[in-house]
Amino acid sequence: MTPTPPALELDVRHTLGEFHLAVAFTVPSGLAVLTGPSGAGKSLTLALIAGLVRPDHGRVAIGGDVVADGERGLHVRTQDRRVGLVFQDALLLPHRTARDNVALAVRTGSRHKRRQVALGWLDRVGAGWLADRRPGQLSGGQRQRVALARALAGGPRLLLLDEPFSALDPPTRRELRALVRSVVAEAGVPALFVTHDPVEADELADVRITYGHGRVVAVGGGRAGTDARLT
Amino acid sequence: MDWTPLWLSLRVSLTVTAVVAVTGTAGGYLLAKGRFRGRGLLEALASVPIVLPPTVLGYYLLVATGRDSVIGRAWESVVGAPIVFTLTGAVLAASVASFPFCLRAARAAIEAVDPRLEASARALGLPEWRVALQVTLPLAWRGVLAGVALSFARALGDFGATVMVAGNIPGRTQTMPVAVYDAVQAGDDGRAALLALVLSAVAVAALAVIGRLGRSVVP
Repeated sequence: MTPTPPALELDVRHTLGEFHLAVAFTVPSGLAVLTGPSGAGKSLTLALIAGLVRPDHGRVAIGGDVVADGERGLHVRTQDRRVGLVFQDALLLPHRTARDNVALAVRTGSRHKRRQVALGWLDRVGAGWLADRRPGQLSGGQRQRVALARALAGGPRLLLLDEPFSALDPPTRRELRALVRSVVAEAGVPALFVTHDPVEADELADVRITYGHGRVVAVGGGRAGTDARLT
Repeated sequence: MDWTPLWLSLRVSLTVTAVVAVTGTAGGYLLAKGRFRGRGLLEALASVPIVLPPTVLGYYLLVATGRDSVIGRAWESVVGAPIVFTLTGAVLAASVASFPFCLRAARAAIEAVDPRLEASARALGLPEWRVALQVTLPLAWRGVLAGVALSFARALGDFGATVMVAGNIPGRTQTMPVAVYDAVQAGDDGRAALLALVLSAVAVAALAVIGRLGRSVVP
């Protein structure tokens, strides 16, 4: 059996105005949680992984594929990185129904087939009954379910969640955390989950990475081990 | 009562609206998203028709596309008819005059679209052209439509540039605004008043229709 490459390898340095980010860690598989105070560079890290920002130095590898390498000038476009993104606000397209928002992410098949696949994903996140509603007719929690279905429907190699539930009330957050755990486990997609809520971090983390002002200050395991290095 | 000026005006302004809606939106997209050399210059150049007196704009177009000009000759050898003093000239004049209105509105609307929406669409794997057509433009649609409406109004009302390039040939290039002027010059006050009222009604009605179109889209 060949060893599976780690879900994510990151070793980057990036400067944004006065802010310097220099972090290195590895996520072997499962659900990694990235915590730390606001302004510690968590969202910037996700942007670097997703390819929305080009790192000044260092490299990013997803599932063993190098997608960014500052030294070689390599920068794979966001489109080709196969990452699923979920932000704090769901960022659904307001002019499309829930189902058509998800169908946008399905990469192959006829329009009919893609809509069918989309419905399947909506069912898996418990939002099948909302398929024909537009984002304006959904609650915050429902929108995040749809956003999660959309992120998964693209067949991502890595799911990136940036404080996806922080605008929701506690019961809804608990429900959605459980959903993320089960869906990620079922779909076998590794995920990096950003939060500043310690309860959320404890409940979700296989691996827990803690940031403090642009540096990794601690790496701790929940269930799985990690070979993360500190810089 | 001869209604030819009304039909000519509608024909010209609708053609112009179609041309400008496509070119202005594409240009607005380019200015909003493109990062290339000479972008600032291009933008300034495209806005010149707003600040130039219409007759001056028309004069330049007349010189540039006259029967002895390079463009004019090339056009005539291909199409078989000149640009100047034809309806083609009227369309050209009104297009250039109204293009910047659509361009600027489209650009502003496209720039106002939340870039994170476009980023998440890219993460889903959509190529740039699909991001543009399925995300950016649908979200910018109201602003673009407002620009198209302004362009239509500008085209319908153009006098100076049209008279310079297309002239004032009754039944052939005499559009409504020119016909109003003509009627006043001829002392035909009744005709002038009637034409003015009809032109006003068409302009207001068109804007009302476009306004309704914009509202009918569910946010």
